[in-house]
Amino acid sequence: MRSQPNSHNSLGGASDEELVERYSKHRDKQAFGVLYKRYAHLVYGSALKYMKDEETANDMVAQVFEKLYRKLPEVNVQNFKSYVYGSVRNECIARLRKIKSERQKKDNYSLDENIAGTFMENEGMLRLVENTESLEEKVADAMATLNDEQRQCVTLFFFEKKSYKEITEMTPFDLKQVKSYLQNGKRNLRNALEQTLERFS
Amino acid sequence: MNTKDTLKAIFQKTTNLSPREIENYLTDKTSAEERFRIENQLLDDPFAADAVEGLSQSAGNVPDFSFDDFLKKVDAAPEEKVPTAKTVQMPARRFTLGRIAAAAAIIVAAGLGLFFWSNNDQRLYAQFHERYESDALLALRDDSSANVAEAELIAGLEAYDVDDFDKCIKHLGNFLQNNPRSQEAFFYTGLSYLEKNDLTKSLENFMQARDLGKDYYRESTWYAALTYLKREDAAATKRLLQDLLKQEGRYFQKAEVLHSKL
Repeated sequence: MRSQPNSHNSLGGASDEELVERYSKHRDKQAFGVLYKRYAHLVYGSALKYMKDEETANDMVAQVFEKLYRKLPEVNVQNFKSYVYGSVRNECIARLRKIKSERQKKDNYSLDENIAGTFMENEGMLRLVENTESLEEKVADAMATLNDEQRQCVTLFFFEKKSYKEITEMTPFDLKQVKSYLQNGKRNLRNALEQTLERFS
Repeated sequence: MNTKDTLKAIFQKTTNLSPREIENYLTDKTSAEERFRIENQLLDDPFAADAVEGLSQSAGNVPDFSFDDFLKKVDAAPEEKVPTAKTVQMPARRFTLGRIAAAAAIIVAAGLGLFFWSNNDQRLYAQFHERYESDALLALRDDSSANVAEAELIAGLEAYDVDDFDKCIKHLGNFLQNNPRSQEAFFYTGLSYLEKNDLTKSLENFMQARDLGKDYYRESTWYAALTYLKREDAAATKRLLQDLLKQEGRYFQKAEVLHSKL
């Protein structure tokens, strides 16, 4: 993952993997600082979603990054973004459980990188698209594999460029449903297209 | 735009959304093209999607996270120190009858422990098995569209959440009658049977979840591998771990370590 081009830091163009390696091997604080700038707002926003409290979300940013600052050199992180995302979710879930007092919180913090599968990578798909001609029929076949709700939302969003909000106004679906149909529809479209395009590539 | 360009736009490469981009999106200050790019990215990037949803509560306002302030705080906080041989002053020891008896008791206890833990598969199971923690319930509770149709699913997950596995199995069984392709319900049913030590039913449910698609595939594979491990079937455990090792992602690292120990 590359940073935004307006980063003032000389390491701003480095990938997450390069920054993690620099920090892990040389304890390069500047490298950690770029990762911090790159992800602090996403950690804050995610924490705000789960905790619904700005102060707690602020605490979460400090807590998550402090653990990373201390532990990163000791763990083998393959994908920093999914690792951070897993960290903030684990922290939020643990804290919500504590608040509920239903069960004693596990005292060993589980920082496993076990959510990488939920991020979608598009590079492989883009290569297949680039190398294939006469795509129209294949796209139509792939669209036919979607269920009605998914097809309706996918058509409006990807082919008619309607926003989530506009789709809620044009269909009986609410925002959560629209997002869900789009997410599943896009995944199914990708799977169907990948199978077809791999046969032709 | 021709079909190829449309597909390229659909399967665009994801980038990190900046605070400014998120704020502009949440306050309707983006062009239609930019809005499409962001909303499309949110479909592929759960981290950004969660963050945008959270930040919508504050119209995209993000506090200024100063790295210098962070460093000051974190460097000022004492790091946990492990006592080393050089710093720990051990009191002089004398062999008294009481100490010899205590040592003997420890040796006997350790021997018994070793006897009961001599089975490698069981030891590894205990080492690698962790209760599955998920935010599925939080998401469902938060989901206004999770209506009556999902009441049984929610009740099942709530029961799992408080370790009432019989109740969880019952509710999810009801849910599966109307939703026979729910990977989530099969997966949690499998987890509940695993907690109840009914390994045959646990495996049946994990395998059903695996067969039904990608959503809980890796989770089901990992816990099915652990179930086989508990059944002391190392060969089957390895087969499933090898499946997880085919591509990086959820449970890859754990699978790698466990596989190396079998």
